[in-house]
Order: sequence, then C-alpha cells, then structure tokens
Amino acid sequence: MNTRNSNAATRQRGFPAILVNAVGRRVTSVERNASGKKVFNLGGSLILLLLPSILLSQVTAHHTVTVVVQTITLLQINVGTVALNITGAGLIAGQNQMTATDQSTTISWGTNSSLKKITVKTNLAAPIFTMQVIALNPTVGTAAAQVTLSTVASDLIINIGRSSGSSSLQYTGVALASQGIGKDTHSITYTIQTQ
Amino acid sequence: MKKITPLFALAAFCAFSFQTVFAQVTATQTVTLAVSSIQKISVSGNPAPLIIGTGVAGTEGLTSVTDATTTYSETHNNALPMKITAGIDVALAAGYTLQINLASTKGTSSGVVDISNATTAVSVVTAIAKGSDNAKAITYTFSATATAGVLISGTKTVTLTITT
Repeated sequence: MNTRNSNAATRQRGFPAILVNAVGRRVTSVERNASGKKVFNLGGSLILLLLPSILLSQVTAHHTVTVVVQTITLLQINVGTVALNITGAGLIAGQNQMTATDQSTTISWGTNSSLKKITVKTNLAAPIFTMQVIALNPTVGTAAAQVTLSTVASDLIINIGRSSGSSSLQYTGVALASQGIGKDTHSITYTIQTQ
Repeated sequence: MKKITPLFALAAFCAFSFQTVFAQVTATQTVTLAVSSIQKISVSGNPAPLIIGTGVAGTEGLTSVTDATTTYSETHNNALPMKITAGIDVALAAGYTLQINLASTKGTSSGVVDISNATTAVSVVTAIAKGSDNAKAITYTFSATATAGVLISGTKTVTLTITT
C-alpha cells in the first residue's frame, strides 16, 4: 500500500521509477495501462523499500514521571504517662518549696521543611502547683529556656531545620508547702509548627 | 486545557489541604504531679552546756543561765494547723529547772515552757499554718536552787515534734 502510493507519487511527479531488489536487480518496469498511462510493475520481489521498516525496528518512546514529596512533619513522645510525686524525701525542714523531677521522656521529630519549632502547652487552666519542662540537649535546634506550663503554648525548641532529631524532656514539679496537698493532672500537648 | 484546569485546581487544593493538615503535628502526654502530706522539723545543733556558776548571797535561787544559739526549722503542708511539742528523755531532779521558748512565725509560741519533767511532751508552739518557718530561735533557760546541790553531769535529750 505504501509502496503503491509512493510509486504513484513518484509517477505523478514524473521522476523515473527505478526499484532494485535485494540482490541489486532492477525489478520495476514501466508499463502503460489500458488508458495509456504509465504504471509501475513491482513484481513479487523483496524490495529495498523495506529498509525504512528495518530501521524502525529500533524505536523509542517516552513518558513523563512526576515525583512529589509532600511536606512531612512528624512528632512523637516515647512515654505516654509521667508521674511526679512530692513526698518530702530530701526536703529540708524550713523550706517552703518542694520539687520533683522526671527525665524519662524523649521527644522525637522529623521534618522536611525548614525552620520549625516545637511548642508546649497544658490543658490544665488552674493547676495547684507549678509544672515546668525543658528540652535537654536537643540533637537539632536550640532549646528554649525552661517553660512553666500554661494553656498558652510556649516555645520549647526553636530553629529546627530540615532534619530528624530528638531531645530528652525534663519535667520539674514545684510545690509550696503553703499550697498544701493535692494532685494536678496535665495533658501536655507538643506541637511542631512553622517558626 | 479547559478540562485540565479544574482538575489542576482540585489537585492544587488537595495538595494545599494536605500541607495545611500536616503543617502542625502534635503529640500529647499525661503528666501528673501529686503532693502528699509532708511534715519536717529540724534543729541547727546542740546548745552550749548550760552551766550555773554563781548566785546571790542570801538567795536560794542561783543565777540562771540561758542559751539562744540554736534554731529550729519546720515545714508542713497539712490543711489543718499543727503544733510542736517538746519532751525530755529523763526528768530533772528536784531543784533543777529547764525551760524552753520557741519563736514562731507560722504558729503561736507558748512562750517559756518548763520541760524539766516533760517526759510526756508538752506544746511549745501551736496553730502552725501550712508552710514553713526557718531558723527560728530556741531559747533554753536553766535554773537551780542552792538546795538542789551540785549537778556533775546532766546531759538531757530534748525532742521537738511537729504533730497534729
């Protein structure tokens, strides 16, 4: 079909049609049809017009692959519950202030966007006693000063770039003898967010 | 292009929403702080020996001596007021008197209290509110009569107790 069209095109343009078979033998002839027009007789031989098809046996294709990395921010606390008990052990008579500390918690994070910070707050609006927390030696970022927990978020670790890191958390419960006996239960929320 | 635009907008919205949702990530932890009933009391040390070495001629009572070099401190967080009692391990013999006076800010001092025979503790400070008193003076007064005679060694142990 293609050969026929090609020949017709050649014929219409008036070029001499010379076709050669695989052994170089001329296989075409120019004849005239019933209306006296010249037509080509291709014969049954394999012709070199197949060469382009041979060349086309090595073909290429392409498509587009889109890769996307979303903003990923992770935050995890390794301990679910911490209990601080002030029992008077180690307390010196005459001191009004009593403290208890806990350093069993580790906070871990990962972020692939730059300049984040971790804040901390408690849900307890009116605690009896004072609860403080500080990040100790964060592997990434800068620890803020010791935070006295409130319902307003305060910076705990700042200047966190694209990274994964961790830090120990030190809780300090502070009670005054004049505040009496009691118990505070804090639900403490840590948030990693844009600085 | 007209078909792609809404899809692109939707995709962009989803991407934005995703980023918005994950722009803040939180973790929570429960931390409890419990303070139990606490009572503490201490003394700074031992007073110097109370030595009676003189008197007034014609007077039965010898010249008493005092010591106010020691202090006590206390802390308690009980809702109800507490008190401090003082007791002595062994009562003094007749004719010898040992008195104690504890200063107090958080409570009411009983003033000078004779503890010569206080093998059963007696109150020396009462109505102590929760909180602390630090380094409050303890004043001892030791007196004797001439009739009681010489007392070679009279080491006594005075115990202060904070109690309800």
